Amino acid sequence: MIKMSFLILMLALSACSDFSKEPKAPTQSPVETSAGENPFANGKTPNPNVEAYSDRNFLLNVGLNLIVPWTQEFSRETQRLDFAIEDLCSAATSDSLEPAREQWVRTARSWAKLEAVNFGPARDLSDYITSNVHSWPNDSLCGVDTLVAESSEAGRVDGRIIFSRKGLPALEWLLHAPLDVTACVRQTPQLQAWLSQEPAKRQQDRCQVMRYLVQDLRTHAQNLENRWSVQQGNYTKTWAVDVGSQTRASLNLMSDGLFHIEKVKDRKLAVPLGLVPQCPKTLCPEMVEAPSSGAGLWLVFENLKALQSVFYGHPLKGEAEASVGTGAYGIDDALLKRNRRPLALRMARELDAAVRLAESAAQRGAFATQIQQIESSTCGELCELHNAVRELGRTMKTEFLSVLDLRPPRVIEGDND
Amino acid sequence: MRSWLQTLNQPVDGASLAAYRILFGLMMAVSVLRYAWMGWIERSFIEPEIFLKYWGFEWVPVPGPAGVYILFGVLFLSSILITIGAWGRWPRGIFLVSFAWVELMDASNYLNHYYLVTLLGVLNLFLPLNQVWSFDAWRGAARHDQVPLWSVWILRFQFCVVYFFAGLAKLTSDWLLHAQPISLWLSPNTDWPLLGPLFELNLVHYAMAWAGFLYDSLIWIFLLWAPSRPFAYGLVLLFHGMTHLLFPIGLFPFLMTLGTLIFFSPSWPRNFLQQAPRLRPQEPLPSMASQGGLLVLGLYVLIQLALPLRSHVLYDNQVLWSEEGMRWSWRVMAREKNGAVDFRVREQETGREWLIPAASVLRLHQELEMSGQPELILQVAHHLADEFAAKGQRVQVFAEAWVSLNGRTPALMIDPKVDLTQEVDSWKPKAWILPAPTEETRLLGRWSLL
Repeated sequence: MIKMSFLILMLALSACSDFSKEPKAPTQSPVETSAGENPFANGKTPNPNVEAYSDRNFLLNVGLNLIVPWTQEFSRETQRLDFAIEDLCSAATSDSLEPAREQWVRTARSWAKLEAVNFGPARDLSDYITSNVHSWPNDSLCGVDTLVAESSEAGRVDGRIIFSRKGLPALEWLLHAPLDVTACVRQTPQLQAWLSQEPAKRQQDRCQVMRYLVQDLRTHAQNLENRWSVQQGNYTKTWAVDVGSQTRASLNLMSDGLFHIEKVKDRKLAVPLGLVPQCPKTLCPEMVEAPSSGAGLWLVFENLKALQSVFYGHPLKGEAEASVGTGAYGIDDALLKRNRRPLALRMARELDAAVRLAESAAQRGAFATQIQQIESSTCGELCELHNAVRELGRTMKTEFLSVLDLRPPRVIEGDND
Repeated sequence: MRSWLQTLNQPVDGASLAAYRILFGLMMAVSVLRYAWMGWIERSFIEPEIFLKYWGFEWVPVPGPAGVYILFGVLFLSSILITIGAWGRWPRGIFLVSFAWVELMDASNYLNHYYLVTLLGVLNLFLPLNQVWSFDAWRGAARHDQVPLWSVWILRFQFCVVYFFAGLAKLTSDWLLHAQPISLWLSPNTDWPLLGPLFELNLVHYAMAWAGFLYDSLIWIFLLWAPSRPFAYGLVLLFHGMTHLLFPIGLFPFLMTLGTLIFFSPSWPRNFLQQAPRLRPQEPLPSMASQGGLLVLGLYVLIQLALPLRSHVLYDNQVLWSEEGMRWSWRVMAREKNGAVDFRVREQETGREWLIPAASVLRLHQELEMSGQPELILQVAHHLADEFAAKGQRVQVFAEAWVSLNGRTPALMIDPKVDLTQEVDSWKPKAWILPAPTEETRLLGRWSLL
């Protein structure tokens, strides 16, 4: 009987072991590794690219040499945006408006790089930082106007602001919308009262809110920078080193983030171009990202450019195919290590095509304006861009996932036989 | 016929069936808890907006959230009752209905081992499982220590079928000549302590591919032959232990490891417990096979052989690509497939087209399964047509399904010019599925550690 009990216990335990078997996403509670295994020992910042390729070195390179600088850049740009808004709000003339708008675009572009690798701290606590920084397309510009009117009445900004009323979309709207325009279709008495105020007062009210929102944005940017910073949260270590042999879980986590490209394809491009039923009309220029600044295509460009940087392990400087397998470790090296040069070359070409098309489209002007100019049934280069991103997404969802043995994004672990 | 019946009804110790019952029930109870713990109940049966159906089982309803939780609760309770061997066949019947219901609700949840559990559930209904070490035996409702031989052998047969056809499914050039998809699955494990570097080696990929093929093809023979049985069971432990550690295949290794104990002598649990058999010579034995019973048994055996064989005989030897005959045929871990599917919907009146990403219709785990399975793609195409029809729009639906099979360059799996609303699902070969890519798949590893 004792043996039978033992057998039953073993069965239960062995089956229960599955509870902990699923690859774990890295958490912020680091598992100590010995000094010999820990490249961050003694306060050093390692250079993973001087060692032979390994998935860990690839992750270290992406974390330390791409994402950490991008978080620093974003933090810096939000600080500049803060100064620009302060200049605008403290100046008597409107000369400071354009610099503030331009700084908003630079800030949004720096965020777009991080958006392309959307995993880790930015997505903790149900996307807390991501939602607070850039809630598009779930933002509410009418909500922003209401916030301004409420704050005007109260004489201060109530700090309990929901994410759809703050972050980059809110600041974009406040920097670009004419003072006598509101995004609300139905105006509340409070909003009507605010609209009847003198322009100077309305500008002052907007400034009150902008000052508050840009501080909030800075807090999130700083938080993100700290979480990745080698001196502070050092998420790179958590993600690449503390996971020990479970680097595949970390690769999966990154790959989930890289599939932001699906949002680029479907929401950022296909919806405004009227290619999907979410656009109820032939074309939906009003549904572009960053509609007020007209910077939507630049944000797409930055998304793709950042993905390209992760692919090579560094920003591409030379010719696309010739750069495969050169320089710091990236996805290209992971594919080469698995004998998949043709796939690496194809991805390089597809990325290059998408980046070039996005750049040339962005240079032609605002996305919404270009959409409005589409007359025939074909949407020309904009649809070419969509197709290029679609092709890239297709490669990533198929051969790329197979070769790296990754899961598609957000697929919950399942059994597989 | 009579001698067959005599042989099949020959009394043997009921202890191994009792052990099987206890282990099966426990495994199912743990499995239900695990499913709930992982959040898979919500993912699979509550969150999806649409459910993908098995051909012929479109009528199976999906109860609301409360119903789903009750169903899993019933599954858990019936598993416990099976374990303790209470109230005869009732808990087994309830378990079978509940499990089959859960399995048939959404085809994207199909797993070979769920199918095996269903079949074992069917067999359990007819087996005298409660004769030994059960609540029923304790309360006197089951009064025999012995069971007829057929009841042990039908379980052995079931496990043999799984192994045999799993081996047959690996008789492909991808598996044997290119070590795929093993190479794809092993290569990412190079960070494993000690063994990691070996997983980079093509030779190891080949060795494991061939070992897997030989294991599946032959292990059942060595399990059946008494002298080799202990050695074979050692291999069972090793093989399924490795697959458990290397691949996310859930309960399958446990099911096979514990299930194959049935190959040992019917008295193995007593030997294990160093307990003398307490054989009470009552007659007749429970569940004796009659001539009619023998026919039913024969029919079951035939079906179990015919269903998997159809995938080797009826279709174009491209089952891994077309998925025709893939299910119910024990093609266990036979392929790695990743797809990207967009549906192109064309309004017939205006000619206007929309592109509909699969992700906008399905949950991601459903999309993952659908993207490599033409019949599920067909279902989604019909669903889209119905949705548009509900808005008064008559549409044609085309699918652009790019699929990478065993690491190959993605290729179109479905003819993108075929209006899928005009196609119906059936067991017949589907002309709208394009031929499998002829490109040879490549290894991922290297030939030397240096």
